[in-house]
Amino acid sequence: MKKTIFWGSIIAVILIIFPFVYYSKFMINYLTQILIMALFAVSLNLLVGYTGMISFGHAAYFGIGAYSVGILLQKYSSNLLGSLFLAVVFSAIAALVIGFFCIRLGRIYFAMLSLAFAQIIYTIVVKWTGMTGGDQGLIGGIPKPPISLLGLSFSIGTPLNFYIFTVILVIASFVICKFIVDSPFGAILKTIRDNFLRTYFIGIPVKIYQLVIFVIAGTFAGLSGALMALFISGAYPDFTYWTKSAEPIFMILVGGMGSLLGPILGAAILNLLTAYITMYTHLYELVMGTVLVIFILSLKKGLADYLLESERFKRWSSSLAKKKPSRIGLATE
Amino acid sequence: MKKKGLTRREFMKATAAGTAGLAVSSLLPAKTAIAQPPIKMGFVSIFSGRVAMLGETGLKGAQLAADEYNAKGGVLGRKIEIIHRDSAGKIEEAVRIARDFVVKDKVDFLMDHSSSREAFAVKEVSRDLKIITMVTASETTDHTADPKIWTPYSFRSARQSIHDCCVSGYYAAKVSKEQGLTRWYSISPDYAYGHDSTERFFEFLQKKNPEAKIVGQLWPKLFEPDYTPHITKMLGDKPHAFHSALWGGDLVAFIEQAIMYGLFEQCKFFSNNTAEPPVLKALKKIPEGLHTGSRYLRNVPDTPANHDFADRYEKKYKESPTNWSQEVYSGMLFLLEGIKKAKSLETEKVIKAMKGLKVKAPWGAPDMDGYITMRSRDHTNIGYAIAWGRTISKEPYVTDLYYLPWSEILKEEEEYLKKKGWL
Amino acid sequence: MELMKLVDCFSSLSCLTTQITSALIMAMVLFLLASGLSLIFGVLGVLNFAHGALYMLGAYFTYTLLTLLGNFGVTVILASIGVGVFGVVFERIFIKRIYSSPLLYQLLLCYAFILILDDLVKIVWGYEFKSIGLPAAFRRPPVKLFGSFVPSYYLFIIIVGIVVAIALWLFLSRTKYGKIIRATAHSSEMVSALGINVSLIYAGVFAIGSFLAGLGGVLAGPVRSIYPGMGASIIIESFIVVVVGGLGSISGAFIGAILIGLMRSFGIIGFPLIEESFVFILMAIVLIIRPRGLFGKEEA
Repeated sequence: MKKTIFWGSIIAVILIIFPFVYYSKFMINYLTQILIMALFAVSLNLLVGYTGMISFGHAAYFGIGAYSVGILLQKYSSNLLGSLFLAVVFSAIAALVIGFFCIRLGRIYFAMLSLAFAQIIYTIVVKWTGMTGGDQGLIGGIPKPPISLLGLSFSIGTPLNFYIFTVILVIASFVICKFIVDSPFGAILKTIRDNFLRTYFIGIPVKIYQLVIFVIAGTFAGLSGALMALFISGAYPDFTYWTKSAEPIFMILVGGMGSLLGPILGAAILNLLTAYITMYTHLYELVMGTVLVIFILSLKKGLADYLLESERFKRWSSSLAKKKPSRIGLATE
Repeated sequence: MKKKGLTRREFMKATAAGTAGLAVSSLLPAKTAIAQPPIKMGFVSIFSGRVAMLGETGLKGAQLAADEYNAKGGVLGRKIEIIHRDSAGKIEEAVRIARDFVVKDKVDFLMDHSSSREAFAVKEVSRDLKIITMVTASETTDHTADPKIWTPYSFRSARQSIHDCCVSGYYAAKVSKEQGLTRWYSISPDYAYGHDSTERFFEFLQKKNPEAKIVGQLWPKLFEPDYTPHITKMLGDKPHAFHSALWGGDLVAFIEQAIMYGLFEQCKFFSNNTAEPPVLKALKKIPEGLHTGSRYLRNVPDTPANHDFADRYEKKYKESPTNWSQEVYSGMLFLLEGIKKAKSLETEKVIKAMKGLKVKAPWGAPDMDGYITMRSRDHTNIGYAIAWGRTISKEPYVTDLYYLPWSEILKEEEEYLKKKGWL
Repeated sequence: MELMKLVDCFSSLSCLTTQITSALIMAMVLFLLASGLSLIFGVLGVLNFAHGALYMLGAYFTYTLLTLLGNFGVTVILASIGVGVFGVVFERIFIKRIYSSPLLYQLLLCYAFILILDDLVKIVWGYEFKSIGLPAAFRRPPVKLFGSFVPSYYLFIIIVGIVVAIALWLFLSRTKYGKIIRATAHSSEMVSALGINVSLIYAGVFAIGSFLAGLGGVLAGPVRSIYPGMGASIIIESFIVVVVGGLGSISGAFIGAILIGLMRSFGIIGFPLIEESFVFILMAIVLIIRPRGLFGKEEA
């Protein structure tokens, strides 16, 4: 636990100092976007990779977080942190309600029902023009009032400040997620993933665990959505559409579902690919599709999984710990 | 014995060589000591998927303008260079590309040819980074009319739906009075553009012909492939006429399906978007007698300048210009002439130069002497030719053209904006 | 809500006829896609997300073949077979390798293929939307049926759909190959133990499924707009039909498709504004109340 906080802080500090060492507006924007999407992907992986619950409707919470923070700041509030907090709470509530219905079903049907609910939320968002701006979304920009804490004022209106704000929130979220998956609660999630029936038979209330992790995942998704809305200064119905739910799935698949690093890697890779492909061609779909096909057929698993499960890595990491190399088995964290 | 100094012959040779050299070098393109960097434009649009036509034909309009100006030496002695990227219709991508254009590629101007939804998001980039952005595809009135979201850095060369709807409403009122069309229906895509154009159309129709009544409205989702249930419902309710804001592929599908039910024989069809080259090209047989507006047509206005533009475009690209090509071309005209007038690329100077700028365009309205104007008050394009008419199955595809004077259009627009509290 | 109009329609034979035929047309195209999806899932265990792209290919093949050959009947057969062949090639080269991979990777592969096909189609045929236009044989006045008018082409689609449904049912229940396929869906190990080449069965089933999707595209093509990415317009609804009808059930796909068609066609009359979300609400209700759908198997 202490180790995680330690490493988390180091990474956060490095990320924050980075632009002071090498200032590039492009890098700041880029890193901010990757961090937000990485959080979205990590939140989904709590479900997919750790609990074996494949959700196709994760965008619902991303969207609710985005719209909530946008509507609150545009119309009702000038307290940035308060609005952000409420937005996250709303996502959590939505996850609780939707999760309650979805967890009653097994794998495939769970996925489909989560998709159905997300599409219903999409329809509500698009039709409720008075509140959400309808299919045009929240236009006109989302105000970013300065945060006053302990007598100091911090404005996230500049790209650099927003980046720092994002780094702090996202890395903190990653640290919390790491606690969760490394804790006894997390261990039970993994047994649910590996053998649902057996876990049930040893007396564990599986459904409750599933609901809890569903809500936690939805909460972090809501946070990532709220950050995205602040980043691009708007919220749009696309944020709740099924294509948005597919994005973190791709990141998890490409990066690896066996760890928290996987989705982060996946987010970075896919964002980088998209940025570079669109710079050189209009045939983005062809190139991206081909890359994905080659990737799936050669690796057959996410990049982080591939690396972490490779013999070389296992030997290296156990030699670091000065332990005997473990038997070939499940890749542990 | 060698003579010292230049002989006369040598002197003459040297002079001849020098003169020849000067003459030759004067024919070569002038190369200044430091090469002038090009004027960079960042063009963001959709180049893939369903509306790939938006980006592809828009870019062609931009490229044509750039080539024509470059052939004359560019602007302020600098060539125009266009960088273009595909947002694939994703809003965060459009925003990212716009930001990257400014921050990484250091473009001088943004050409925002993205869809109306993305345009709202890109507007925030213009506001934030204070970069002059020419909006060339968004026709939503709010984009320049709503003071809450307006920014001085944003200019719109695209047409505005309020202008189009004014002409369509007036025309429909005229025809409906002549033919006694009192029961009206509408079928338009269920999104902002569809709702706004239909609402405005009926407002103007009913203002000029109070006898017209709306008996039903249908809102299929955007990109709906199958309109059969909508068509059969309309047939059941038997309206005299109906309006549609469907466009592009949707309109083609709708017309094909409606033809099978003989809908057009029973109800008169009024649509803004039928007489567009891509739609006309896709329809194997163009039904006659459909009432349509014009988006881009080579005979609206029927002037040599317009036909010449269409010819130049067709020669270069082997296809007809679309409304999108025209809107981008207008944007380039405004921007480049604005830079010329300001004699500088500095943002504040160019903004000032573009306010109220009048340029001669192939589609300048007949009553505006062929000029389009970048209105000073809200940075939007006015004075482009809009006409309605009836379809015929061969060139020029639309006949009996009806124009509304811009004085009338502007009056109606002002009234509308006052009602909204935006003026 | 316009419930009165809905009631009026129910009491009018001509309105009923119009709306029911309208429902059946949508249903038949959906059925062709959903049945292929269900079959492929039932036998191979693969959710072929790329099915919409096969539908798109069917439409584009029709566009080219009809222009070249002029004969619609031949075009239908050739274009559908063409898509079937394409499907087999796709399965042999790509899908085969990921049978053992988790479901998600199969979906990702299919999605990657949709991306590739969408752009390939754009390169080959161009980015503009195209229209095939009604085949010459059907350019005649609509047929009068029970006081309402039904376009002859739509009657053709309905008939073809019903014929295919019956043929498929007969094939699967009465013929030897059909029985083998059903057995493979149940347990591929047993079938393989009996000495039958399961891999060939997989290829064959995928061919049939692709053929059906292609046929859907061929039939729908002349009356819809054709453009890169048109598969997206139909894939979600096809999935909903499969879920409602039951994964792996052909009769479920048929009934489910008709149900969705009727919902849309009568929904437009009674609830014109929210009709679009009906299918998702239906899917949610089915999943909550009876997750395996109308005719699907109980979950293992």
